[in-house]
Amino acid sequence: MSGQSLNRRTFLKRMGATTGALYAATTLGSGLLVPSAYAQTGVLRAAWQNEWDGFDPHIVSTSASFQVLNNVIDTLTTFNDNTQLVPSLATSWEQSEDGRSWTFHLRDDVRFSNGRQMTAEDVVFSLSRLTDPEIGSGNASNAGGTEAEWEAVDRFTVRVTTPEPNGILPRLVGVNKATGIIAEESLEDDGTIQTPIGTGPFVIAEVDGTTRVRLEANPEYWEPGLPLLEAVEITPIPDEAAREAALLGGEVDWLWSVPTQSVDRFRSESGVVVGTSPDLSYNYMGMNLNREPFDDVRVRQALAMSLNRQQIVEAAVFGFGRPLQEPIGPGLPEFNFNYRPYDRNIEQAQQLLDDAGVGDGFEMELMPNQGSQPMIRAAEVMQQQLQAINVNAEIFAPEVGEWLDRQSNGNFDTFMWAWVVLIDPDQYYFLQHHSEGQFNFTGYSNEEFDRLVEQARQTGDIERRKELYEQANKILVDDAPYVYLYNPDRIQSWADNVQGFVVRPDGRQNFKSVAVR
Amino acid sequence: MNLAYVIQRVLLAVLVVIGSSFVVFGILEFVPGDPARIVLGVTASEDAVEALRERMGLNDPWYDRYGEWLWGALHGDFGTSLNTQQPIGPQLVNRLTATLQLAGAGLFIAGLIAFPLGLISATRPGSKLDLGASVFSQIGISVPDFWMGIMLVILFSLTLGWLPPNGYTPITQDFMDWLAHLVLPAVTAGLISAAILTRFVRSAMLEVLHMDYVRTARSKGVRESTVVLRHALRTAMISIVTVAGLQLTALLSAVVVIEIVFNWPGLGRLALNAVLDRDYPMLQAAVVTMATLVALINLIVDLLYFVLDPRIEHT
Repeated sequence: MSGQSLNRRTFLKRMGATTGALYAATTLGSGLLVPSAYAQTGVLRAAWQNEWDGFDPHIVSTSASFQVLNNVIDTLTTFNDNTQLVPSLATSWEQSEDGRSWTFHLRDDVRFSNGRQMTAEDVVFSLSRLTDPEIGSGNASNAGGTEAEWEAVDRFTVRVTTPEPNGILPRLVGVNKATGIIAEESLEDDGTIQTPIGTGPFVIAEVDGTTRVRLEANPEYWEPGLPLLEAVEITPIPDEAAREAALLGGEVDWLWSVPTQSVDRFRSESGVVVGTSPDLSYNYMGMNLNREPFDDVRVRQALAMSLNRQQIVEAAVFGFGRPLQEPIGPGLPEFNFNYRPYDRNIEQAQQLLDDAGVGDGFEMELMPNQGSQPMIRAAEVMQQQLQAINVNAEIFAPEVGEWLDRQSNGNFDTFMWAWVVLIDPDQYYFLQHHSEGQFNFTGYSNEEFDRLVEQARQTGDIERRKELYEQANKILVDDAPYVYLYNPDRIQSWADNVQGFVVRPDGRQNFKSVAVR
Repeated sequence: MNLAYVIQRVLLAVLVVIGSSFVVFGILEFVPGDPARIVLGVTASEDAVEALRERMGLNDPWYDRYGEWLWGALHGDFGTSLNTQQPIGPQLVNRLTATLQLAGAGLFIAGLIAFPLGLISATRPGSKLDLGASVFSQIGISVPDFWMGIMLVILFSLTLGWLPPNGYTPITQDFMDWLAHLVLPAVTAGLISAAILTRFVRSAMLEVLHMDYVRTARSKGVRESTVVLRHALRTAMISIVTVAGLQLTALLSAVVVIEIVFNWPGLGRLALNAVLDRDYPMLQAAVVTMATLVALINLIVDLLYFVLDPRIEHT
């Protein structure tokens, strides 16, 4: 279609470049690390942070599950290590004139791990099951929502039609592995999926409940020379101290995460490597716009302006992060607008409160949840900082279940948490702040903002989207239903004999290019 | 052995187990937070949450749900985990096996330390060895088990590199590896229990050693070792078994913490996860299993009295 920057030709070119780079990487890799191009060697023993909740991509909700699936199934599109959209099972895609349909052209050289060729019918099966209302997947919107129609045009072409134009569908189908393409043979007799059959670099070979999973190299994998490893042994180690001991004591080779307070110690250990990357998530405080005095924009701006975010970063995540005054940080460089109107300015904040008629200050409640120690520490710093404008903040940190209840029932002054699992700007703006947004718990409503984010989700043109989001971003930050606090780092660690692992802003744990010496 | 008494004890144990299931169910009813929302996470839509509530039967009245659960449990069906959508039974068996291995090994180590130590200090009260045993008990009782576990990991795994820091290998897969992983958590559990058990062995023996029949035995010229092991220990065993039984039940709760420290995939970690995930059926099954174990241990201790002392009569 016209006006779309990523047309088929560009993609084919990029595809060529990607394949070339991959080929170079793998031949180089194989020369250095493995004896021959197709002989996988080595077992990576990986420690997950939490137990998984199964492996049916349409049912699971934990990232523990999704990151296992990440190595087992592929999506039509995906995001590279720099969070840019790239082809995967689809080589190219285009939007129809009316904007309501997308056509994806599939690779014809992909086989499932059971040896059967992947075709358009498999895409239709997988994504129709995901969007089936009976399944009730929380990720249905990533495949166009429950009203999307997926159909096979020919053996290697699929088309999806949605009731409204959906400009960001090619991005959404790459967000996580809920939209992964699986073989219909994955279905058990009762219609459930225990271990999906995918086209990814590994297959799920053994599962011991929620305490151990063994992934083995998929001999049918379509990217030449990958994966490098023979197998990945995954064990969840929920306790932080136990996880650290497991790496330092040689029980595992790779950790899902390292708590910020342990980074210095890890860096001083020999034989251990620490890797960091800005995360895509942001930590924030949301306010209840249906309650006084938060219904007054000047009060919200005053609160945003009274904070020293660098201090908050130091206290909350021991400096592993960066102050943020808008939702998108450097993890998503294409949409990082650098709009910063809220550097700490007590005088101006006080003036705003005076104008709003609450110059003598007021009492308010900060509500982080018990499960997030960084946010509790952030709240403690904010409590002190807010005293500068005579605001007496009390910290109330309920356990997460109660926290969620209060949040969804509007029973709060403020709530504090992190918004995670993001890769498209739509996920930073629409769901939390559009008047009809599913997660708009603040009661924020701005017609101009609504119009901009609606438009931005309908167009596939990335330059146009940047313009729209930049305007929406300014309105949102000025209206301040959220006070943005910081963008944390993602910190991981592994033994120094592990090579080729990349810490990604989106937190994907990809093992296909990893080798163990 | 009095049959009526045995039946009475068994019925009481069953009642305890059912009662505990009811208490757990009641507590979970009053905990704030919607399990459906917690299962689906913060990004779930209101519709999805409602659909799951319906599927989980959360919209039914509590007595219906409890009745249904109890009926299933009595038939060996603990339902489906809300978290994994898998039947609970097999998961429970795996976790229970791991916990029993750890608790069993812990009790074994406790006995191995407590009996010799307790006997020696009882036969030589006031000696340096007795003093040493007292110090050991005192330390063992005051040190929290998780701290002891971490110290053992730092010493034997991270510093000396003799043993793995944590983790679990099934015994069927590799015996030596299983054993290597079992040592540190079992010693942690065992040391704490041994500390308490040593004191009881000592005091029970001291009491018995001052009894008339022991003096009689000695005056007949019976060898001291025979006096201690044959005559005195037999009598002392009654109170020791009681304490050992109590210790085993205490050990089961200590194991919850030890499992977390050593990443041992047992019942304790399962229960903790179930709490965090609001996996009600799973938590209920885990707690009832624990309660059953405790009731069972108490029952066995009660019945052991008959074996140890045939004079005991219950009416």
